[in-house]
Amino acid sequence: MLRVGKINRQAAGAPWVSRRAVLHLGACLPFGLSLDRVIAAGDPTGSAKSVILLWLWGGPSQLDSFDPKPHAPTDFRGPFSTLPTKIPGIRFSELFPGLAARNDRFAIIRTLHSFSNDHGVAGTVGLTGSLAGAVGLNGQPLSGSTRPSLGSTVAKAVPSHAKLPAFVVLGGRLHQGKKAIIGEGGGPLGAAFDPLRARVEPGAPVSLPEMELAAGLLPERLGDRDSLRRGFDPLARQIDLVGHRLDAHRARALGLLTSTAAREAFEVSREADATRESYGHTRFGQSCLLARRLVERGVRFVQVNWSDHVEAEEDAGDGGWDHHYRNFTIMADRHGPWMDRAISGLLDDLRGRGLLDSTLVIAMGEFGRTPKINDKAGRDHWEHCYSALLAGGGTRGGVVLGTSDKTAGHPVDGAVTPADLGATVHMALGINSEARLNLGIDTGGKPIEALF
Amino acid sequence: MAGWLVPLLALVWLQQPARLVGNSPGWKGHLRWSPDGNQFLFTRIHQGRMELAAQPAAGGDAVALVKPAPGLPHFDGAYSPDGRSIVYVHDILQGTDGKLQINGCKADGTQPEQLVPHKAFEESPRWSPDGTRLAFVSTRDGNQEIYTCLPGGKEVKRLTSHPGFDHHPAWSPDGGRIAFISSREGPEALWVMRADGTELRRLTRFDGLESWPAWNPDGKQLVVARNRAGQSDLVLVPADRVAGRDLAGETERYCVEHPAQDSFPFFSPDGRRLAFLSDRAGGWAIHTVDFPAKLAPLPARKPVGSP
Repeated sequence: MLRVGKINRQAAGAPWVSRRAVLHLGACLPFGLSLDRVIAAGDPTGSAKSVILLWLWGGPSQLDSFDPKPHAPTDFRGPFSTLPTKIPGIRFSELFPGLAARNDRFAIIRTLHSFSNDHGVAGTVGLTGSLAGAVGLNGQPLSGSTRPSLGSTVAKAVPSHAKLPAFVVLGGRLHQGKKAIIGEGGGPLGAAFDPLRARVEPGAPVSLPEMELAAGLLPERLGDRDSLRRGFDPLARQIDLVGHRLDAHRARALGLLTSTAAREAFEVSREADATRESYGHTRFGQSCLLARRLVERGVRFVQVNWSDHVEAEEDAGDGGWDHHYRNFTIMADRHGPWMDRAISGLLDDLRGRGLLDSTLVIAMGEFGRTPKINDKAGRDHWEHCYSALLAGGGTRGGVVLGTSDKTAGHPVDGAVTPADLGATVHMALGINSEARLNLGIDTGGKPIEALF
Repeated sequence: MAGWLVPLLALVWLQQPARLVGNSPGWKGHLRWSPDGNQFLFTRIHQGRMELAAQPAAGGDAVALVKPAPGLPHFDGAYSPDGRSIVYVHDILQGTDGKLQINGCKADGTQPEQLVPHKAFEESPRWSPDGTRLAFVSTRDGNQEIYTCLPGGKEVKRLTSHPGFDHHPAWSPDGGRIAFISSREGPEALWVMRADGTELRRLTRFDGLESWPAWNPDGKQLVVARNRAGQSDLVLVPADRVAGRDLAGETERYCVEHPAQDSFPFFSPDGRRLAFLSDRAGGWAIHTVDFPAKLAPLPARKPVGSP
């Protein structure tokens, strides 16, 4: 079942649409734009058609996941043992046996590095590839105009032929403390390229809070409402400012709300129990399942936010990865098994449906964690060296790129940045450097060609 | 069905556990059975909060325990031996960080108060069976070690001292020993020591990540959760290993084994039921099985994590 805002089918019958509903609807319309005028650079010819970004908010430990150091001193390596993987000589933390058994299907980069140990700043860098406009704990924005998020650049550069939005985020706004971070939306590209958000909670229907409709309104009836047409007027002016066509927006939005198939795309309850089980009954697991449903139906970029907040205990969902304390308890009880199961399930499901070759999957956080364990049984922020997982979409499996030092503290070779990852995503989607420049979405990164 | 599969299933599905349906499908942990057997206590993530919750053992919805609601994460509770009070971990959030301290309250959740003054990151508080001392885990000496103290935090005694992690303490029913999990020899394994910190002995030597041991009230057996190849099951460990049996060649004996995540075991007060938390059948819920269960060594099997 899909819950579109506060639709109450039992109480259906109210023959009107609220202005608020229309505006909420309008706010999420532009993602489904065809953008055919913008794509002057031509149709994509890349190896990938879609991207699933698994955003591990808070920063997972590289040592307790894909870059363990079993020979490091105890106060660095931690309590976890390591497992052999399918690739001789490569070991993962024992928390990830499912992924260890599947790493012939994906690549690990062990030498990502960012430019700040502040969640807010590193989050912006991770999602946009740039420091520009980032706001950290001190509340002062860094110089420059905020760049669009990776999902927004894809939404702009790659035409979508589906009735669904091109960029969907599963999860709420990313926060550091009480502040939402910068860089989760379209930025200079305009609100037209902000994501449509959907929320997944265990035991509840998927909700689309931005498409909240008046109680009693059925989405099937939206297309008949004169009030809906009038409600689009202010939106039309807004959209004209960014040079898009209202008709396309309206059609795509109405398509989303009035198309049974489009709505069903969000209904993970339609999946077989065994499939749902394979992802795990966590918010992240079921979000990964929804991500697969969406790319299967033509959505270009799905970002799955593990959590809304960085903190493990405060977050409203699965709890973030910011494990300054209790890192090893949380990793063993919750995050390790949950992530292992969800990503293993996603890779199996994508492959089983013939989608892995055309879907680039990336799992990463905004930074890693300190190699030395602190005095709180945790690890602190560490931007100098961390890991990312990349699978499908034409990338090579069974490879580990980059070498970290003996404590996974610094790259020894093969250091890459989030901007490089962004350029790699663009390359996989066939968005070349000329197109990136023409579209204003280039952040200076270099594609990691060794992945292909 | 293949002929070899029948005996395998007979071993794996030793007993169908009873599932206590609740009103909260999200993650749960740190299960405890009240001394009178009437109630379960556990940690849950519910509507955006990590909190202690109580649920009738006979069935019914779980409710948040601590009153008034602290508005801060609190978890890993344990009953006092007389069942009249609860001790738990209280997390004071500070920006994007936190501070763990040990609090207590009455069994109905009222009158919450700090029990052990914060000195470092304290967690996993457990009353001794005679109710005189509190075992807990603290990082006050640099890494996780096990301590005991009197209520109020006086007469602190450090029981463990090792660069590895020592945590998840569990008092034996007679109060003479404390089982715990330690990584001092590499993998997270089950250990036991006398209540004064002497005579440390490793009880298990199997592959897998072990956690959250629980004693049977008769003091003869322990159950520990073991994550092996991505699947967490419950393993029975005879307490007579404490007497120094050689661990070499020991056979794994599972009392709860299922592809789902089964963890946080705890015995009923009479020792005839074993409760645990599991995500089998969808969301996380309390399950119970009769004890002693029919036990049999399991043959080697394909890890659940395998593609």
